[in-house]
Formats: sequence, C-alpha cells, structure tokens
Amino acid sequence: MIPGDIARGLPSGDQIKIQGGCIKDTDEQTVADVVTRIEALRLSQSAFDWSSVTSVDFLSFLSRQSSELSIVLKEFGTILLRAYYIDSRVRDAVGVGRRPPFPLGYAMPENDLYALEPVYDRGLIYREIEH
Amino acid sequence: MVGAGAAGAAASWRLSTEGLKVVCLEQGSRVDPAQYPSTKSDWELAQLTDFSPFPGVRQGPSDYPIDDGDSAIAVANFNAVGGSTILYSGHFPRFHPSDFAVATLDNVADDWPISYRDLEPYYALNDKMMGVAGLEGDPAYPPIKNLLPPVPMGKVGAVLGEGFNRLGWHWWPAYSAIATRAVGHRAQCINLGPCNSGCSQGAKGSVDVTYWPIALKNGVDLRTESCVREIVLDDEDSVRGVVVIRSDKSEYFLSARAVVLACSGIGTPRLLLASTSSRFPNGLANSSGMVGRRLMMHPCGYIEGLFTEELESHLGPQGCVISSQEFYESDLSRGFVRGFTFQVLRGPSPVEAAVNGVLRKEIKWGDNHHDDFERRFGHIASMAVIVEDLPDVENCVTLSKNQVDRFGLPGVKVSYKLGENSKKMMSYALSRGRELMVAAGAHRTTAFGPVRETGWHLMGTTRMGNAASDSVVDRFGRCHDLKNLYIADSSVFVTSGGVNPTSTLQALALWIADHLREDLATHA
Repeated sequence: MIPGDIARGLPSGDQIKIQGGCIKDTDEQTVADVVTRIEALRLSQSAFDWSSVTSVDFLSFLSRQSSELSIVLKEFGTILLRAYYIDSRVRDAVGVGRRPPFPLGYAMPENDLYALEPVYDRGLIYREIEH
Repeated sequence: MVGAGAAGAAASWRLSTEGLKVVCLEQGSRVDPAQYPSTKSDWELAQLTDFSPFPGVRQGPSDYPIDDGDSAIAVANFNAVGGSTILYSGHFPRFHPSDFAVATLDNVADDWPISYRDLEPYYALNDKMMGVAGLEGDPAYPPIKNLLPPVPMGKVGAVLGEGFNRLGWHWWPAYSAIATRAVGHRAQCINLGPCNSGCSQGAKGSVDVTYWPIALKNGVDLRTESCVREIVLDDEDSVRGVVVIRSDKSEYFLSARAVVLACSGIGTPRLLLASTSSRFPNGLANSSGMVGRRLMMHPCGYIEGLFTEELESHLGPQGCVISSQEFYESDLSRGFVRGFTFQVLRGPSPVEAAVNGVLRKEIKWGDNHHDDFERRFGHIASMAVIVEDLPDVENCVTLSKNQVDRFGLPGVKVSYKLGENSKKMMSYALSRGRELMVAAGAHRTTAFGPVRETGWHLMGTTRMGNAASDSVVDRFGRCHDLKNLYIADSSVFVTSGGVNPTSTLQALALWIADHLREDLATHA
C-alpha cells in the first residue's frame, strides 16, 4: 500500500513495525475484524487469481464489498499511516527529524515587519469605551 | 486555592507576595517536562492517549467523568499542576474594550461590571509573568507594551500576510506566551513545533514554569493529588474550609479564612453544585440559580489552503503565527452581531497530513503515495476561526446522575447548542477564510466548522454581576451568597469575547486576588 522510495530514503510500508501506540484499545478489535473479514472474502473468491492483484487493487476490491467493511478499512488505513509516519526513517526523510533536535531546533526566516505597513496605515479598528 | 492551573497559579502567586499563607489544592499531579511526548518521535500518538486533551480518552486518575454527548462541542481539559496550559498553544490575545460592554454597544447579553481599563494593569502584569511575545502598535488594541519579540511567522505567515494585504484586512503577529528570547530560567523557543503536547524546553508559558516556581519560593503550599470533596460552612454565611481527599482516599479538613475556586468553567460549578445541604439544597452560592448556566465554549472552525509552493508550514510553534481581527467588532450588515478572530496556525504534522490526505482521497495508496504526500506536507496553510459565543441559560453544566469519579464524587453532564448568531457568524467566517486563502495563492481550499473536538474555552458558568438575583459573584469574584468564598477562573466571565481566554482569565485572577487581600486586611 505504501511502496518504498530509495531516492527519497523512504522505506516501504511492509518494512514498518506497527507499534503498540498506533493502536488504541478499540482499534485492536478493528484489526482483528479486518483480518477475519479479509480472510473470509479471500476464501469465498477461491477461483480468483490473487497472485496477480496488487495491494492497492486488493484494497479497492475490499472497499467495494460493503460500506461497513469500507469504514473498517479506513480505520485500519489510519493505523497503518500512523505507524508509517512516526517511523524515524520516514520522519528523517520528510524533514522533521528525530525529536528533540536539541539544541539547534529549526531555523526560521526573520519576520518582515514592513509587510504590516498597510495594516498600520489604516489606523485603529477597535472601539474605545468610556467608563 | 482549589486548582493549580492558569487562574489558580496566578492568584496563588499574587496572594503570596504579601506574605499571606496560601495552600493550593490540586487534584492532579506534577508532570515532568522530560516526559512530555514532544521529546519523542511519536508525540502525535500520545495526543491520542495519555496526553489527549479529552478526559474521556485520557481517563487519568485525576480526571472526572464528563458526559458531553448532549453538547455540540466536546470538553477538553488537563488536570495537573499547570492545568490546561500544559497542552495549550500559548495564544495570548486580550479581550477588546468593547467585550466588556456588549449590552451597551450591541444590545446583546450583559455588560461586565468591570472594564478593560480596570483590568489593563493586570493584563500588563500577567504578560510580564507569563512572558508574552507580540508586536507593539497593533491597531486592533489599545497600546500593549513590553512584549517579547514576535514568534517567527515563517513562510506561511508571510504568504498569508500578503493575502490579508491584498484584501485590505487587518492582520498582526500572534500574541503568544512563548519565550522568543530567554526569560529568567526559561530558554528561548527553538521552533520544535509540538507545543500542544507539552513544551519540554520550557519556552512555552505554561504556569508550571511561569507562576509556580516563584509562588513556591514565596512559600505557597502546593498539595498535589488532593481532591476537594466539600466546602464546609459555619453557622453564618461564611465558609470555614474544605474537606480534602488524598489519593489513598483518606480525608482531612483544611481550615481557611477564605476559599478561592479556580477549577475551570466545568470543575468550579461541579464543586458548587455538589456542595448541597439543607441550607443550600441547590448547591452553594446558587441563590440566583445561575451556577452551571450560561456555558460558553467558543465554536471553532478551520480553513485550509493548499499551495503549490513549499511553505514549511510544519515548522515553528504549533498554534501561533498571525491573527486577524478584521471582523472582531460588530457590523450588522454581516448578518450577525459581535465578531470573530482568525488565527493562522502551522500546517499539519506528518501523521495528520497523511491521514487527512488519504481520507479526503488527495493522497492515494500505492505508487503515487509519496508524490501526493510531498505535494501536501509543508504546503498547507491552516487557519482557525474563534467565534464569539453569546451566553444562553440553556447551555449548562449539571451533575451527572449516573457517573462518578474514583472517589465516588459525581461527574458532570454538559448540554450545549450553538445559537443562531453563532451559526451565522461561523458560516460567514468560513467563507471569508476561503477568500483569504485564495487571495494568498492557494489552489485548493477547504473549510469546515464548528469542529466538535475544540472545547478548550470553558466560560460563564458562575457569572460575575452587580445583582445577586442574576449572578453568582460580584465584580471582585466574591460570591454574593457567601462572603469569604471567591471564584477566580473563567467561570466568572459574563461574555466570551472572540479570542482565547487565558490572558483575560489570568488578569481577572490577579484582580480578584488583590481585592481578596484587601478584604482579608479589612477583616483581620
């Protein structure tokens, strides 16, 4: 579902370990549900040549089976994305690095406060109250 | 003092400066900044569990049940030394002078019994204690001085600033309780980003690193994991002290000349409503029937713009970039009364960008996944809209009939609906927000609101007023019904304004503490 990209330094999704923190208590049941349902579907379509189907095609096929399964798959996809995008290799590759990058942090450009001149030139916009 | 959050910390410190003996009771514990999720690469996940702003998700030992199923907005809080400032963004705008006189000016709700001018010296003192960054000369406010340098706006701030200028709208660097240079023992912000899961560096002005170190040095006795079960009365119209439950469920009585409640717009009415007796069958300080009523929560919406150019929008303090108060003051031609604030935020974090992108089908699974992600991450400008929420007595906090905390004390039920004025304002704001994104160069915009998971701002449930018949406390935070019981948090707000409440609630806490000191001196 998420291919690797050597040029970007990104691992593939199947190289990622799903850590416990990615799966909230309620999600554990979701994972179990998805696995059970997928296996049942696979068995019910035994004449189908699964070896020629990509993971994305398979996901699309599953999503079309029922709206309920589609919702479950969305939750499952969310778990996979969480696992992938907290992986330190992925974070390094997308430029957010490991936490915390003490003591340097991230450099940011100086504010160009001249851009505020039109705002200042308009004058006061609040209502003054006499008490 | 009951509560060690934003208000309790400020009031405790102020009282301690004159040598008063102050005991502060906090039902939560101290959180070690070294353990904040922001020190780890999986900080985004911690926001879904132990550091979630939602007590129902967190379910920590100091959290009490909050049933918000009947509320359009879910309640967010954090129970610990520092309270919700541990997880807040550090937004620090003040109310406007007009916010204190909405009945006079706009013929809605009620005027406050105090004015901006009354609070101005307390705003200034609080800014100094919290370390507030910003820029002097903002045309949306009376002069605000002695600010730290503004937070870096970054590319995203510069691009949206140009958009605001093209439309001729107000914008200004955000007022932020963030140390943009070293302040005392606090190091300078280094733009790490995840302020909303705790600032390990101490640059964000949460009260555990601002007020508390000084208050403790002054001798304040801060007792953690100490839950107040009951406020105890004498035979007159006074309080004698409180009953405290320790974490091991043992109890003791703590005598006090005065009791100050600073437990938030939910926790304060909860304690008052739970303190029933034959003399006060409807709860303490509730002869007006207003305890728990007029809950205001600031409906919040979001606008996003997707830009072709790299905005580096994921870098910098998470919530604070710039704000716009172009639409803050009333203009009836817009179809509603009062107004709102735009707050430009940083863009989504990697997980958030990926999950939202996939759910919206803008990032695909498979071969194009990384290209799609790259086109979004760092390219999204995000903006929140905070809508002024007018008080409505039907929006309320009541005691839960079937949920209790670990001590057997009742939880709360929150009932809250958006008023018609708020709905019109939200719709208008989302449309203007999309205009801004287009003017700034976005090629795709998204706007949605009100967003349910945004209930940080809890206000109005023990309102301040001159008349005991329709308010709970007087202009000095003193309960009309009980002469030595005070309330010093955002419960006392009469109206909500259209900005984050922390600056105002802390200024109020200092104002109330000063008058409590005078009361105690008078009756010594």
